[in-house]
Amino acid sequence: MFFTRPLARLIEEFQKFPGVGPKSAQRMAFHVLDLSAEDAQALTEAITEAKEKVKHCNTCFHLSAQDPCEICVDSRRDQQVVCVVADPKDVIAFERTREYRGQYHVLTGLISPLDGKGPDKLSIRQLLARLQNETIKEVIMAINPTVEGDATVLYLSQLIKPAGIKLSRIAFGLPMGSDLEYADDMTLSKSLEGRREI
Amino acid sequence: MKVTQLKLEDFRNYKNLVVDFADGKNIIIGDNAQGKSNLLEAIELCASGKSSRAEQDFDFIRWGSNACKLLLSFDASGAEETISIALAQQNEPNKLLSTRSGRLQKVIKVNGVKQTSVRGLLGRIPFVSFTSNDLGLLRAGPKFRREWIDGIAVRLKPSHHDVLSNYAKTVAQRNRLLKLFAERGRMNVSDQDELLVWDKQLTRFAIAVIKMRLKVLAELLPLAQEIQSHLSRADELLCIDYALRTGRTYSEDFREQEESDQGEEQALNSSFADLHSMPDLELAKILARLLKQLRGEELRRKQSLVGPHRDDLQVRLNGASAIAFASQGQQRSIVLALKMAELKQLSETTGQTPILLLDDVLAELDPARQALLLSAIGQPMQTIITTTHLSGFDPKWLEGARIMTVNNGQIVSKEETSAP
Repeated sequence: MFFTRPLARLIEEFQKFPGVGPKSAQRMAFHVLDLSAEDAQALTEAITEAKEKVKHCNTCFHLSAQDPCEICVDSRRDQQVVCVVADPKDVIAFERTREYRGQYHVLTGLISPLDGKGPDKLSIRQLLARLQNETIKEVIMAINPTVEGDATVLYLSQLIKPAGIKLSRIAFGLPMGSDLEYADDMTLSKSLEGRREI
Repeated sequence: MKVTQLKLEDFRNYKNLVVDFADGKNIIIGDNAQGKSNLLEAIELCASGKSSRAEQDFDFIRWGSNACKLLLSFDASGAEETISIALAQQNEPNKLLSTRSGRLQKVIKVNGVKQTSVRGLLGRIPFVSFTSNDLGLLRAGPKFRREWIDGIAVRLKPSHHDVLSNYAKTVAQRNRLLKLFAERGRMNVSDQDELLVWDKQLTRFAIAVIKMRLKVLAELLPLAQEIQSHLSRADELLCIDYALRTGRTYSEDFREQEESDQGEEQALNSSFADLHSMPDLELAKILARLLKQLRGEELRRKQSLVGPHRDDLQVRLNGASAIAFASQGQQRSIVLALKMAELKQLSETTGQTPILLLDDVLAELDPARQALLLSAIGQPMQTIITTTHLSGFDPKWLEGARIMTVNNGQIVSKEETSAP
């Protein structure tokens, strides 16, 4: 045993973080030991507070300390458009653009039988209820073009289309500032499929 | 295209090895189980990310070690490039390193740049591998033929790898769902909606996989037919049928269908050319029909039974099944013709001369077929051959070849025969 027990435990905990290997975990643990007593206290408080207060918004399932969340209660936002995403991280990505001013709905995952994720494990029922009760006229699906993402979009479109709500999926294609020459065939053919008249 | 050097560390039975290859013929001699095939496997692994011999990645790591490294240098039209693959057992605190299981970390680099997936190395080294196992292509299970045709497809078009992996993922997801529903006993409306989604996904990728196989066959078959007729010096017509569903040709399925609704789609018959020219929508209809027909069976067996993972290729000679009616010698000729066609197709499509890897296969061919294969190997094509002895080779053909002897994971001798 190279590390004394409390230190070893801290390293183990850090190592459970995504993308953190043994070496990074060790560095982080040593950093914690170097912290002043107040800073270490602030860290534990931040963890406890975040864990206690951040919950799913019961309307859109985004993460927030309040329910309904900041986005859902913002009356300046467009109430007629809802953007469906898989993960709270996607909401943050969209918010960063400052372009989109509508509502969100976080599915909290994608349909994936292998991971035990059926439609009932996602917030699909709640999305359908929103579509029924709110004045939503348009649904935008911002979901990754993976096997599971495509399956989820297909499933949702089967349910939403009959309701006569405008339904679209975000375009896929070349990243900005990239070079056509280096794009892979899959991306190129997708972007050809989604081409627009000018 | 030439491979110039292969470096191995703890790969299979090699602790440490550096081999330099000649531009033309390379012959690796050794008794059985000395590591000849491992060298070809290493090249194939670097060129395709796959090995037809290994069941799991752990098999690559030398016994007594917990990591291995491969570095292949090659000459891509004048510029030296490299592909490296490193496998290392992950540290898991509660596990003894001597157990050959658990997670392996795989790092693939092309020219020193780390790749996010196997996809990054595909298509860089065009190669055709011909092993003694391939001689059983016609007799082996359908999986062997599916992997063969899909392997060609990926070498011709590396992005097809994504289609295949999406298809495999979809089948895995759908199988899990079938299992879930089968165990639950009955399906409600929402379950049916969910299965419908996976039916659609399956159909979409299935069409892409099937169409690609048909495209490969459409190019390969005429080339193979020409070589075959040359080999047999007779009027033998080589044909390949594409069977949607193992063990049944498309025509058999269709005939059944015809009996049930007479008159519809009269023009269709069993040749794969019809499937090849069939619009995607028609193919989707056929798959939908099969899915509907087999739904109950799928739930019973908890498995997806429709799609290219159940399809097969059926080789026919003069209209008769080659497995049932062709002699051993004829079957070998057919495989040889297919392999040589593969070589031609790859060089025509990529515009590069592929590398030919011959693993223990020459000894299995009679002198006439051997001569034909060897004569096809012209000087511009780099060839790496493994064999147990040189006696079968024409001394004239051996001129200018680099001959290396492998003994127990080491290259013990190397000689260059004088050029003609």
